[in-house]
Amino acid sequence: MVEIVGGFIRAGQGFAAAAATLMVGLLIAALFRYYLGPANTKRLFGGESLRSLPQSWLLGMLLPVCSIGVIPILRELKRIGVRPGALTAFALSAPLFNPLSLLYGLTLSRPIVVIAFALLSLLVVTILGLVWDRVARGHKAISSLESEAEEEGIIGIGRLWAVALMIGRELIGPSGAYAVVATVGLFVLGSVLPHGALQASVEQNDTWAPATMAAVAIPVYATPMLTISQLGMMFQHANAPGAALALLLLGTGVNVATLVWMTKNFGLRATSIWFVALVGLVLSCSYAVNRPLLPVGVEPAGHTHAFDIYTNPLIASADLGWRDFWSAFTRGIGLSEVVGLVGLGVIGLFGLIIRFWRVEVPVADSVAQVTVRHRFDVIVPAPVLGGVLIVGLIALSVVSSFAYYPEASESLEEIRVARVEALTAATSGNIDHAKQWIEVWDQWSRRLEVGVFLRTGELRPYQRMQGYLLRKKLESLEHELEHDPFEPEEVRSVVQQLLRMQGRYIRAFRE
Amino acid sequence: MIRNEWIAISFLCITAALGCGKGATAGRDSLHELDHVIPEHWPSDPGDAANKLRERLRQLEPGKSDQLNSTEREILELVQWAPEICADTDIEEATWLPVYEASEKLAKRLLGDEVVGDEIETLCRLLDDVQKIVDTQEMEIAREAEDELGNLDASNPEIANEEQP
Repeated sequence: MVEIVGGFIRAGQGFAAAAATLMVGLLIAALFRYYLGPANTKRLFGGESLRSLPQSWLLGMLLPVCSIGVIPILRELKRIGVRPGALTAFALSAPLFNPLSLLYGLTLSRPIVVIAFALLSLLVVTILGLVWDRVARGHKAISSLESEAEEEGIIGIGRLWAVALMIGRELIGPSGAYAVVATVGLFVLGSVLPHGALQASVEQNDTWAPATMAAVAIPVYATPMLTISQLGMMFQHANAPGAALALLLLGTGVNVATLVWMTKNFGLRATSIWFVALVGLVLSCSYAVNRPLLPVGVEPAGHTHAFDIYTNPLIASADLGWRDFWSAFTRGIGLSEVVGLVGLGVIGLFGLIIRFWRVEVPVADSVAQVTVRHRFDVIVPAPVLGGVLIVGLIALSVVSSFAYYPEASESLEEIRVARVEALTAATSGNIDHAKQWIEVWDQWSRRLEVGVFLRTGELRPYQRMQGYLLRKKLESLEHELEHDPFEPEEVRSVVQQLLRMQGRYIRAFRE
Repeated sequence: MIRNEWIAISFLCITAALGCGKGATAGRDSLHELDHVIPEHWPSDPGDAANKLRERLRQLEPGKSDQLNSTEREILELVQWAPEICADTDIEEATWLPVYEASEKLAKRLLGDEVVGDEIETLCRLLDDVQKIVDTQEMEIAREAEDELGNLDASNPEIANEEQP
């Protein structure tokens, strides 16, 4: 029973994590259909030219979607007949990074790793795109010319309404179903893998580490931010870099729903070839970088907590009360997940209503029929609006980085709050509360570093080292708290170390 | 087509289950056994790092040790750990930076199998300097604490009287 409940908790947490980026994906798909239109969308993805693969990769890197949020976009791209290679390049690269996660990567012990991983992903999507162009040739677009003309003809309020209808229909329809399918992998892993089962699976001296991680990562669904934080933990623990790359490309890039969607649209044979090529490429790259990217000067910890999130959140001997279930579920839910779920709930309700009442897209007013009443009453072409919206979305994603990674003073204030909460709880033996705030403290320490880099253009080695030391001590504290029975003297010793370093830590980032 | 989807899902589930066979037996209730292992030659402070480096340099001299590989590896590790050991003290950033730069440069050369005995000695001297600063800081802290205690005693007649014979 614990296995099944644990699986449901992991699947639910995965769905909650995907809520925000799924909404973004739905919006982008609607923008492609009603604003950019088929011809411009194809042009955006490089058309039939050679640059279409790197161009699709770049577009994927900039748009803030995950491997669930990318599905409505893929459906739309397939519908309008975007080149299969470009489609797969976008499908894989869009979930890997976004500006927020790319910046977060700067807090890794060697930031060059993130750049290396991004370039390796370009190599993988280019080769895979070329393979896919060959294998999937002959699969035509689904849409008819009449419907395309109709969609391009809708303007004004009617077009906004059409966008809303498409988003609602997609959520309470194929894209929503694929989102649920995507969480099946998390359910299976959460059910099959006992609590903490992956803690020693990716050690740097384990030859099988990249292969093991590849096998686990295939059914995994992970958001870009989750993966980049896991990468951070892996490098802090000196785990195998090849395993980290496998996690990034397979865990973040694809999920069960991606494979189901591809099988449905391109057939089992073509998808199998694509899948084998993908796994082969990822494993080759993973083993190639495994030694060269080993973190220097970091002592292997012998384990990592980075993948606890894919194993059962409940321990085998746990009581299975409602409170335990709720506590385990909400441990992985933050403000962004709550906001995402509420937003998705509203759209879902809207989708149910329009599906129940069979509300259809309004009849198009052709551009020629619209009367221009004033000199300034200009009909802005849909591609211009679409372009502005897509560029705006990318710009928003970049600008939001400044909000997510605030000024040093603000981050230091958040760290102060987290420090008081964590250390007070730790010394008084309130383990769950302490661990919760240790995580908040850790996250803010990384956001502080990125915020400083964004505003000053550099992160000094001393600042990087102080951040590393802080996180190392925080992890020691976490381990001390996990001892059973509780050892107050050991905990107090690490708390004193953390208190001793707080002055120089603040000084490092204030000066 | 639905059949195909189920085949794909079943394949993934089997892959996941097989891939995690080793871990599946590793479930645990407590994480007690997962503390970080601290290597035996992990230095307690910058001075200790310098001593350990010098000790291993001596072992590298011909005929002094039959475990050259492990000694060389330990020298590399000590060089790489030096910035972390120094950063965990209250020295200024400006004092830390030369240690960091020397360690980075030296580690690269050691990885390239270059002979760098003199440069290691330079790093050791830097570490000794850092240790002197740390010792001075600690003595100052101890003196301040003593002064504060003295002031406290003087302002508290009960304690002051108790101390008199």
